[in-house]
Amino acid sequence: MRFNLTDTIAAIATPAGTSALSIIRVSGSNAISIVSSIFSEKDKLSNASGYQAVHGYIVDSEDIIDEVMCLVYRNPQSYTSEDMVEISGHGNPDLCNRILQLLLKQCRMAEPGEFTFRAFMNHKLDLAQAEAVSDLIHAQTAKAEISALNQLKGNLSNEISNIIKELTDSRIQFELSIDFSDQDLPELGLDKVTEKLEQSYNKLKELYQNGRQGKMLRDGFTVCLSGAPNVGKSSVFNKFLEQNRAIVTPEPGTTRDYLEEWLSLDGYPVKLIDTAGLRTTKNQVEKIGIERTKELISSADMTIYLTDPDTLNKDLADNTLIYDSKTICVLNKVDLLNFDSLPDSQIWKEYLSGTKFGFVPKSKVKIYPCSTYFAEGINALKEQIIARISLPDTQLSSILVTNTRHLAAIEKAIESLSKALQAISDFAGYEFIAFDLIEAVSSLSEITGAVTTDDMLDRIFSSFCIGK
Amino acid sequence: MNASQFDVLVIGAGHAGVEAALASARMGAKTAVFVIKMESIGRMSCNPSVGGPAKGHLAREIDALGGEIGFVSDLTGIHYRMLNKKKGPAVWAPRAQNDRQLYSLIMREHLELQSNLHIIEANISDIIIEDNTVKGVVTSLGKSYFGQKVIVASGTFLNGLIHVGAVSFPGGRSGEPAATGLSESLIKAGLKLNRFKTGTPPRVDLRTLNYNLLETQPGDENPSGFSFYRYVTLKNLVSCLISNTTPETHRIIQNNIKLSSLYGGYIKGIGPRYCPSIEDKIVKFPDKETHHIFIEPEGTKTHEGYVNGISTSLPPIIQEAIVHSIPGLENAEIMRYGYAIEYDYVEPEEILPTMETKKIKGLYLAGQINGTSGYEEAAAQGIMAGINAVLCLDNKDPFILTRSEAYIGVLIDDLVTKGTNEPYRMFTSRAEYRLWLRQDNADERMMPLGYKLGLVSDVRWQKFQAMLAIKEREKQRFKLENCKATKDMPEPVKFAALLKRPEITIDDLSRFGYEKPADLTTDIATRIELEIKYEGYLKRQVEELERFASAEKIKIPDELDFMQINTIAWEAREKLARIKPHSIGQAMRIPGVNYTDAAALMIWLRKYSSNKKETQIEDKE
Repeated sequence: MRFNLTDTIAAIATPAGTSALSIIRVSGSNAISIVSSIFSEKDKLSNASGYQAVHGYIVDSEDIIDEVMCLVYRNPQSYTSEDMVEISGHGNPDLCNRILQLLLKQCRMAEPGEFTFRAFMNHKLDLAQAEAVSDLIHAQTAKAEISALNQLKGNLSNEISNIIKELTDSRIQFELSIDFSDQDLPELGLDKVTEKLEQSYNKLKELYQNGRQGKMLRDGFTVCLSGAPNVGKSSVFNKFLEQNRAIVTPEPGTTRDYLEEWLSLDGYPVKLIDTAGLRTTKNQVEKIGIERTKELISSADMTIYLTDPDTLNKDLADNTLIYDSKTICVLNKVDLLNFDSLPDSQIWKEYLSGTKFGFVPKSKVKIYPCSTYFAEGINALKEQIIARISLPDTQLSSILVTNTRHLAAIEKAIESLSKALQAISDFAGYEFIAFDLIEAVSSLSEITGAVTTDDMLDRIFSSFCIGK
Repeated sequence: MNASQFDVLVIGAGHAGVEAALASARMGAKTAVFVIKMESIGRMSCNPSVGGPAKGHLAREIDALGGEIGFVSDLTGIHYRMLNKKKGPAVWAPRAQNDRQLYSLIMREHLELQSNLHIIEANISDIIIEDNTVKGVVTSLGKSYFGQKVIVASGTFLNGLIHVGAVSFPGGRSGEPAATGLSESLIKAGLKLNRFKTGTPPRVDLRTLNYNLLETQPGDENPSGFSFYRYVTLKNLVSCLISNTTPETHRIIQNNIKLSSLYGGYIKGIGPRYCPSIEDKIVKFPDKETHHIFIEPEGTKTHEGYVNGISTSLPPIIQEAIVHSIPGLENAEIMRYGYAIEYDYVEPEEILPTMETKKIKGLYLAGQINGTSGYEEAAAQGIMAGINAVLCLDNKDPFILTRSEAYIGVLIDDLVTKGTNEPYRMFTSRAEYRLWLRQDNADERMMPLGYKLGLVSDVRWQKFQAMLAIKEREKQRFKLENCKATKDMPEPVKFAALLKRPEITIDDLSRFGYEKPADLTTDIATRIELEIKYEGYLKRQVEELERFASAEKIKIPDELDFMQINTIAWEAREKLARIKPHSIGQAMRIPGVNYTDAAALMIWLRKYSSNKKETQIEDKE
């Protein structure tokens, strides 16, 4: 566990999701020099006086990541009473994460509530606020333990745990020959250890690459439009595109029998897929298309099942997809039911349950009205989608943080490991190689939890006959 | 003057006791040390050896601080090896075989020659405590001695119970009585006691060995010892001998396993995993076909040899069979039989980092009584207890070494923060700052502290200063001067840059035009080489160390009532209240105390200190 009041910390200060702006906060004695090191206007920033804003680009060696404003605070005139920089960038979660990740190479991620904590410790907050701060810290930790987060972490955690185990095994080889050199233990096979370390190194590299490409929020939420032919899937699809700007262009080059577009719904990236109509057919080509649709539906985060007044009864009777928990059932073409505009939820409820309009659904499935002919035609649908995908902000930011923190940890471990391999080829002392390995494991254990010396000694004593 | 009145009373004159007594007397306190048998002062009850990985580091640190173990070891060594010579410079580990008898004699002499120090042969049976404050001790003969500070360094003697097969009898070690009564006294004082076990192997008459079948292990050509203050030349006087167990050995043990005290169910104490009996090795690692045996001569005036590797509690007849199954020992005659010993120890969470007990003022515990094993571990606690007892007498700040300063700090911090489930032994892997805590720079780390405490004489201090000056001077030269151009080095570079190359050692530099000054000793040259070669690593280590130090600097007041801080999780509060950490850094090392607990604690501390300030202001008004 790392803990002190003087090292430099960083974190994204604005809520997650796509927004106009996002702010990353960096605080500590090296805040200004660290940000300068990844900033195009290095000198301007390092020489900036307090409260001065500097315009420029965040750069990763040659690549420009984002155009930003850096607001400089000089100690003690800042929230934490330390040197601080607030980087205002575009509100794209991916860019934001990349900047944070660059920073985390040189400083550490702030613990929950740590900026406030420092503000308090540095006498920036008055006494009355003390309890509030500690409450805040506790509250934040509780949220960090939410199970949704743990599920997301699950797979990565397992892989990291395995790598930690492998690295610890290698370290044990060195520790054995240091601490128990006067014992009759098998000689350390440097070649074998090197080979194992290289394997771990490659695994970490792969994890890192995958992590960079496949972040949860970058992938967005996949929503499939499904339903019988001619219920109006494509017009609903187009209506969505008209009203919501596409934030990413479709992936080019893949031949497919469905359309896919990126939308931004209330700041959340959503991939909307218009699938082939579902029906029984003997046409071989169409059969393949329908199979593909089924696959898409099963892998999507959500399905919108579209039906219309003509097919509703049949669908309710025959189609099991409607009853799936991740399906929203939408009745399109409500303009045909003598409405002048999209019915509000009260009128719709009465319409569906009452005999007033002579139409009674046979099931308890919630059916939402929709029409591309009305101005507000797809609003009810849109609200339903947002309601289902939106996570509480705290949870969302945890996910973001977790991902970025993990990537930073993996990257640090990769660096330590490459130092270890270099040390081996330089014939460095075993204690130095062990030092690199300890550092690598310590970075990785930020993801999984610490490995203590006692854990390692337990393994030594249970696996090797030690002692004269 | 009252003959029974002292400042500091030390119970026991083993490796912890002698250091405690010497440090106390040297710092000016009138000190008495009690020993059950005068002849066993500084007795090496296990193998006659000092040092090895981590233990050698401890011995060097104690020496630099002004302790005795390294100095006496150098005066009595008969076989020297620097371990890990091929592994890496930060973990080189000096190890010596000592003349057991001579070590005791010289240690006794040093104690006798020490002013302010009184040696008294007595078995202490009670500690006088009034109002949770220690007042003195009572001997088994009924005489009382009084002092404000009592340091208990009773080793394995507390209710010691020796086991050989089904036989068991009270004893402190081979041939000496146990200390009874003292345990009851400690329990009465409210301390929590528990039981550990350790053991020794049989010892044989070296004249009865067949040397043709034994491999010889000579000492190093250029022996290196422990003491920075050494004035004698070290010489290897004996060689160790190596053999191994055979399938016959294993068969004998397997067939008779139930006859051992350990497997016969006679022992309840927990033994160390890193120092198992031969029974344990055979049972727990049945696939290992053979185990090494090291035969270590016990001295130059005796033919006794310590058979390292077959610690056992089997009955004498089986011990003989085991010894005879080992190549070279077929006709060996056993002079002393091996045994297991169970003894009381006090759970180390009862003590503070000063070695003083939390419950009884003025009562200090040092050495094996705190659940450790090993001479060096004991000596380290001894010197720290002695120093802190006197500092407290003088109303001065306590002397606490952190994990980043010394192995001594790692040892004591581990004990008081985490406790131990088996006899605690030091390993280099326990030290997070291993690259900095080296044996070569123990003087640079410890001597200034020892000098300040009055444990290092001016003469020794001057010598150290001179060494530092030479080191600094040559290091600067390496950084500033260019080497000569040679065939494989057409462009001259700084000597330091040259030395950073993996294939170049400091001895190679003469080929590149480095003129080695006469005052640059091998020791200094080695330090410079290490510091330059591994500069990058050392820098990284120092960065870590600074991070560590900041949490260590945030002190927690002694009187703090952790239970009232309701922003800390209940479980963590209980642990904090029990351990009573002295800094935020230590608090966070307590298993079960996490970041948020520490943060809540810090917030509370700040509030607490501001409240105090406000109170003070009110007082003025």
